Amino acid sequence: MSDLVDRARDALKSVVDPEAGLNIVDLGLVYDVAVENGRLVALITFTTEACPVGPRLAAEAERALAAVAGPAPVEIRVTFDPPWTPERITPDGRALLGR
Amino acid sequence: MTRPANPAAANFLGGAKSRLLPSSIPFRFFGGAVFFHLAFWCGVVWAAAEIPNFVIGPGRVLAVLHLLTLGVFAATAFGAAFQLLPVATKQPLRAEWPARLVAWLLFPGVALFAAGIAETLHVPAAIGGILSAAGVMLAGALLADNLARARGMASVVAHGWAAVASLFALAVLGFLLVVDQHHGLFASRNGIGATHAILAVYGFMGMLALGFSYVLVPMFGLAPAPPARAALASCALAVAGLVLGAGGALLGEPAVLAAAAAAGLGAVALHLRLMAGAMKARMRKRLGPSFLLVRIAWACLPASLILGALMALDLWPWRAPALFGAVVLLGWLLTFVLGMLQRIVPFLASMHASGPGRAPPLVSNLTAEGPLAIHRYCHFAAVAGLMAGIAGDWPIVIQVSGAIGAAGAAAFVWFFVGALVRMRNAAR
Repeated sequence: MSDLVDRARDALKSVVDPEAGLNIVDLGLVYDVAVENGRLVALITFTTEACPVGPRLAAEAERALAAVAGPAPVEIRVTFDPPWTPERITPDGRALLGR
Repeated sequence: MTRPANPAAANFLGGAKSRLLPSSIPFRFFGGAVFFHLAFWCGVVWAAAEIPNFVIGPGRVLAVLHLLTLGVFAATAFGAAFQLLPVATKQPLRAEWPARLVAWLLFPGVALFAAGIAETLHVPAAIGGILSAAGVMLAGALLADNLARARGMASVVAHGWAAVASLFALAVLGFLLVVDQHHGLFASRNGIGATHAILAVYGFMGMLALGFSYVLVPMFGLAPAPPARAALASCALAVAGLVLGAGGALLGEPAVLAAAAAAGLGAVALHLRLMAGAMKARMRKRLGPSFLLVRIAWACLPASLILGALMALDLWPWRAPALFGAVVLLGWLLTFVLGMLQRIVPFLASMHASGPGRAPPLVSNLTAEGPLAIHRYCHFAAVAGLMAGIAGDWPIVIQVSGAIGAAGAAAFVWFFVGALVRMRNAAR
């Protein structure tokens, strides 16, 4: 099961925020990935509640999870609690941003 | 894993897979704005002799001004608001056809009105005024309906309401001014005209610019959102300034106008402090040249209020109206709008180029930096030259500045068309 979660996290790295130029994992938008009752679930957020690209990112994230989940159903949950902050960006992400 | 505490966040996805309008809606407004931007600078060349001493009244300068205020500012505001506001409020527009109709009313209306008012031709000015007012009112109604159903983002919604209220008021005043031109409704038009201008510039455009900045600046900079309470405090001060400004202009009371400017300066100081905080906390080190435009605009905003107060108190009467107009409309608003537009256009184009199984292209791949650099240099030279030409009452300097501005505007057209072409190619 932890292998599936790891593969799911890796798959989510294929989802790129076109404005930031970073994938959503390195951007710190993925709060959690877990298997719940046989369902592969990712809890994500966006940099702002008013992000027009948010639903597109969520749809791509759903496709990324489905690619590794096999027959298991997948679910993307969106939350703004807690709100995203730049501190969530990973060291790899910061390096790409020149920080 | 917990379920999201905020059900609105879940509904954000559950209600619709995408909050994106069809690309034709925002891009028709941005395309119209880009075209009228070019028309404006050509108009500056054409009206150069009358600009330094312009105060109020029909003629070439007023026509050229409305190419800018309606054709560029209002069009950009509507295009951005129709797309951004539903995302911020988590409520889609009730229908898309009214947004399309706004463009059909606004653009012919602006063209006719400008042509009519330039040559004091009553019929085209009246028809153009009616069409423009109808487009503006319809846009206001669409935005008001969306705001009334809003969930979340209180600071953006508050600024939105202030902007929409200003929009309705300025549209009514503008219509009355057109009627007065032919039927003499008012003993003096000056107060009505000044109120119309204040509500247009600081009310509608200003409140939208401030409100959307709380979303766009952190988004582009990868910064945390500014605290909502402080943003609301800035909004409250700004609204107080608007009420005082409208009242002072209508009553012709300089002291009230000066108080309005003071309230406005308080609001702007708070707003800029929040923007500075976002810029300091941003994770994206390089924001690009667009933010050079934004920063210069930020400096011109308080400068315009100070100049406005000095003008109201008769402490700077020399060329004051025209210089004030240049600082507030070009130094602040046009510079800010163009700085943001050159980020928003490729961003939206990127989203529309994506699809099921097709990741969106990077925004940087849809941005033509060459034309934007040409525009940037021409814009700064044109605005500075125009101000110098006004100060010295040198029409030839204004004409040359207008020509440089038109060259920059043409480069901006090139950037815009390039983004659309790249969007189409990426979508194939």
